[in-house]
Amino acid sequence: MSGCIGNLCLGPAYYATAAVVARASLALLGAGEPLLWRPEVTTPLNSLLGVREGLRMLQLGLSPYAGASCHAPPLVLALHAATAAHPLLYALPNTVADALAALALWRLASLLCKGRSADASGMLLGPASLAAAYLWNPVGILATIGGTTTPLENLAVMAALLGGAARNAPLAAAGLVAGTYVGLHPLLLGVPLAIMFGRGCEDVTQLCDARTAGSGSLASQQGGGTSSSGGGGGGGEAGSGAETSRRAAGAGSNPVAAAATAAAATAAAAEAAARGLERKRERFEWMRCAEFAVFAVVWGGALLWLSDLFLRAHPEAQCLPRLAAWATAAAPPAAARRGACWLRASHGFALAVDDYTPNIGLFWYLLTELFDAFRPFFTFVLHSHAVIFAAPLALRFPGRPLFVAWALLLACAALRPYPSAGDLAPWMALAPLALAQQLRQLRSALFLVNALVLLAVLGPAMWSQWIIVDAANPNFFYSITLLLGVFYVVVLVQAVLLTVRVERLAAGKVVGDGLGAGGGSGGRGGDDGPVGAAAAGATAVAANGSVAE
Amino acid sequence: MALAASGGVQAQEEFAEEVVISPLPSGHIQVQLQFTLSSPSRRHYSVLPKAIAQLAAGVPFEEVELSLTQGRWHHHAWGSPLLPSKPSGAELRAAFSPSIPEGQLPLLWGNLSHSLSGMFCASLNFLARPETTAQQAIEFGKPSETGGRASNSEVGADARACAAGPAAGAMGPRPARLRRLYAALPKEVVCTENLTPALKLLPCRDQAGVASLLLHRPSVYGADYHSMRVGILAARDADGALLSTRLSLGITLVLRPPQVQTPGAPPARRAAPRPCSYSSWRLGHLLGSKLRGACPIATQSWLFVQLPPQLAAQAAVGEDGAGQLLHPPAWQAGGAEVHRTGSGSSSDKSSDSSSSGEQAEDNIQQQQQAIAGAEALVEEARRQQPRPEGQGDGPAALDVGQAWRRFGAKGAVVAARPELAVSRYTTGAGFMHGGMVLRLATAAGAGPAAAPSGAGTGSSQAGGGGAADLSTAAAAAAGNRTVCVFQIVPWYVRVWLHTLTLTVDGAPADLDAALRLRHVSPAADRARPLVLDLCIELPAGAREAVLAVQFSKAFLHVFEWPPDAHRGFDVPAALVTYAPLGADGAAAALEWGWRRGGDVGGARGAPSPLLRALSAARPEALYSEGLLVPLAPPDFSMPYNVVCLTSTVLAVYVGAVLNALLKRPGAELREAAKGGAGRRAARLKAAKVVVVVVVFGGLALYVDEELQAQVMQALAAAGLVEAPPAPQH
Repeated sequence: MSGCIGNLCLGPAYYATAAVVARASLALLGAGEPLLWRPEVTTPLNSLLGVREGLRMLQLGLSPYAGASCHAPPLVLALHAATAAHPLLYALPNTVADALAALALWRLASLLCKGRSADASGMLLGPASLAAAYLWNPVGILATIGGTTTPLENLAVMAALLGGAARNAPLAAAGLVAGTYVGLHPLLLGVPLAIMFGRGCEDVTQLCDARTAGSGSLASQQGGGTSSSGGGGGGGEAGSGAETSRRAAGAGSNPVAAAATAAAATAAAAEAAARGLERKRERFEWMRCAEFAVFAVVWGGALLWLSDLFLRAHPEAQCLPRLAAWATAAAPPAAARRGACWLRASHGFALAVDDYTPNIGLFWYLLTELFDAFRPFFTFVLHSHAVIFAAPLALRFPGRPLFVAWALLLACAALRPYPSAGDLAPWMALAPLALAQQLRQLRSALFLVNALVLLAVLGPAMWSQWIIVDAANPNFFYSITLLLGVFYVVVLVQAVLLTVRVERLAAGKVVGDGLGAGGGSGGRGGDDGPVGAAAAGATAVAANGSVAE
Repeated sequence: MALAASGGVQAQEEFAEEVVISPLPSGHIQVQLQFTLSSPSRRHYSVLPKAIAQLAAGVPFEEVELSLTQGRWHHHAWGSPLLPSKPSGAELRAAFSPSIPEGQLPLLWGNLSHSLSGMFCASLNFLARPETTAQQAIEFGKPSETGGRASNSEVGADARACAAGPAAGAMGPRPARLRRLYAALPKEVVCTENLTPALKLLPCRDQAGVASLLLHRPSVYGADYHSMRVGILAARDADGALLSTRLSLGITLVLRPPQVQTPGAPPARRAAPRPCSYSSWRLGHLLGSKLRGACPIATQSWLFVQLPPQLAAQAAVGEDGAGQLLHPPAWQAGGAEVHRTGSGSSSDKSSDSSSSGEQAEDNIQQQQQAIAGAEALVEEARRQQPRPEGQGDGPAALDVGQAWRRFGAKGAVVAARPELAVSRYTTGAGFMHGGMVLRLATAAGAGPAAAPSGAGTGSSQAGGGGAADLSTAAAAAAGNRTVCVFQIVPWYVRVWLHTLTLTVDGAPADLDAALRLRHVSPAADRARPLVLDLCIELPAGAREAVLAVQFSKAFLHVFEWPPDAHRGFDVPAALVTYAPLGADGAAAALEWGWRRGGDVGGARGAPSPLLRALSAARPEALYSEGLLVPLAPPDFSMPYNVVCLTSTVLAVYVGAVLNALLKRPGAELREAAKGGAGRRAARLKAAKVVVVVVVFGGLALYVDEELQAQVMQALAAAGLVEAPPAPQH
């Protein structure tokens, strides 16, 4: 429950309050106005300008979607209606959304940790620290201060994952539908959510289980990582005196002992492996999935209906009559001739990618430069890349729906048509949770973090050179967005590789490419690296033997 | 042609050619030429060009006005123009009957603009695009007037604030009764290639009559302001059948006179005209060509010279209030009568008509006049001795001039300056966003606080809903002024309507409260422009009103860029319309003077069409500056590179992730352990290569016919198949 920094242990309420104060003070300082024109934060799809424009057009008696400036769905307009024009309060809905998302993340982490503290559950960050990290994530703050609609989408994503982990069908369906409603791409989360309902969320605290069980291959393999993250000055949770003493007593602090224990306890490892196989063979609970789907349909219908209700003064912008007419193959309603419905203006706009305003994604420059004849083909290809790995990931990692969700969030952040900085927030926040075991074996963390920092500096610099100073051309900014795409690819590939390895370790199989967990921990902390490697090697052999039996 | 002109059959077909020359206070000379050709609908036309008649018969428009303009009218220095000035570039407006369905308008508009494009050799086909065309839903007029047909509710549907303001006789904004389409092409370059086809529509072209003044094209297109407007008015019956057609071709020039060698005037320097003084001028010097008689076909030929207002006032005093704004040398061809303006005045010094032996000379009566009480000047209409132009028996050349005895008529002031000054500019830097500001300032001394005496007769119905009262007269009674701003913004300048603010005298004002009538049609990408039609009521005594709005700049596709990519993109001029408050001021004087002039034409029962047009009550219409908005161009040389680079990243994404997903970390170990498995894997790999080669080879064979032929030849050479028949060349 408590997030501790140094000797200071404070509750989540503190972080929420501080984060809200930080957002309010930034908004007060006028940070929001320049962010309206930043391509990294504001895109045509999530812009506060679009929300304000839609509300203004409503005020003028026009449909918000009569023009090409408003792409926010009707209920987002309704949500912002009271505050959007206010110079300070415009950030209020987003701030609330961020706070709720952090709360959902905290609940999710608590749920997955089964109430244990971060260290006891073997995670890099405890629930409260995760929530605090989410609230203080700079990209999330930028998205909130910029007034974008992305924080709403992030809230929906967090709620959906919380609902999935808790197997709470109404909540998960609401989150999924709301995220889809705001930003379309969270629709992909339906795949991992279905797994969560069918099979249950993965156990990110396997380390903890194994250790409490006494010993095991995974426990000893990850012991090195635990000690290195604690001893190398890693997590914020490392400061608590009580935790430190517990860890000192734990196996991780003495890898040699751990290795010995592990080597001696092959039977326990075999048991763990058998348990994993058993879980894999668990029956898929279709009924829960169906319940989830029913709720999703109900919530979706409700959102559509509420949207049309909000637009009741503008029948030409309503979608349900058109959908009904389309479904029954009847003639479209008379109002349809006067313009497109709001779905066309919001999600249709995102799919058509008619606006070539630069952003941090890969679409804009390709479609700007592309020959007209190939435009439909390439638009299709680009869109397909965001969804192409939903099924393969789910098939490859059927027991890790949270990781699948994380990977899909990352893929969407990279390959949605109008990505923004706010899209980085959910997968960054979920990484310590969904990749709790993988991150311990990550060896290129320094490179990845520095690459992101460098891109975050270079992107605005190139933008300024091109757009503000007019001393460069779009290729400069394009190169940075391209590198960001490469960065996403590297992160995703690393994560998948690490997960493959963790899966095999969890199954008790050997990792044969010489990149044992000990090697991974050796990259992270130098003090116990070789010993850890030796321990891991011993464990691997032991585990292999146990499986072979 | 002469035969046709003299025939009585043509009584209903009319051709009037007129020119008004008026010195401007800045020293420039305004020359307004007007040609009016009208005819009832018939099978054969003798005066009206058949192309125009066919256009009117083919496209069911009510009115069309095309203007091709170069330069900008400087209201502050030149005062109000005789006819409303036009924005630089091409502008086309057309009015269609509301009985024409909305869906047909794009087609009709396209037909119209393409026809006119061909007729006047202008790139008006760009105007036919829907992304440049706007529908004007608010027009200025008398609210009491009822249109011939039912008001179009769909167009005016947005004009919600509109209520009937039945102040009879007052002019104000109201929902348009016709479907008015408007498009402007600010970057259209106007040149002699546009004038020549226009002059071809005239019976005498530029060989005789008023149009012969335009013979010297360098001086015509060297003008500071050049505007050619073509108006076509089609009168139709209830079924839309054409009753009559009227074509009016007007050409406005503002010329910088070469200094005329006038006795009594100091030697001129080759400089710009001195401000605050009227220049002496003579047509021959001014335009490089003289009047070559009248067009024989014309039913009316007029030349008017306008006196400066203060002189007109003096003349009015001196002439017992008879008022004489226009001084002929009015001359008319084809009639026996000699028209003299102010014929009743005693100040005519001479009104001789000296005729020489030339035949055209008989038709030209010319009158020289000086004004009593105006010692300072001599207004002179000098007729040069007729000289044959060139070798042939050309018509006699008439040269008219005006020379000031005391140079410059000091104290020349811009009397008829519009009450509002309009200026517009962009703010901000960079390619991402910017701002657009439209500034309306009341001219000094013509503040709206000056209570109008003439227009205050409207029955004000200011009670009730508050916003219900729209009539300018009622507003004027309260000292307020209703100003309408009509603005088209192309879609690539993405105006944010919620940032539209109104500032009056430096203090923010509530725009919604000030709006009297509005029509907003938001822009759609690549489909239609933003159309803003706002009628704002400015409070009494307001000296300055500023409308400011912010916009984002769009990023265009590579192939949407014009060849001159770094020039910037045009935003058409804003049109500011208002009813002049001082109805008894300059505008009234003008009207009065023209009415007096109208008497000139009235002597024959057929008033001059130009004078009629000038004396018609009309709102003041001012155009702002056009704007040039630079957008961020992409790298035009990059298509292949970008496709390659982005596709590479995507391919790596798919390949690497798929590889990672399929990876089995223990596979290598196991393969190393079992040697046989390695050979099996190698065989599998070879099989994969074979499959790929076969699939893609087959595909290539299927697609590429040359390859097919080559393969068939190779096979034939190997003796596997029969040799294909050799292609015959």
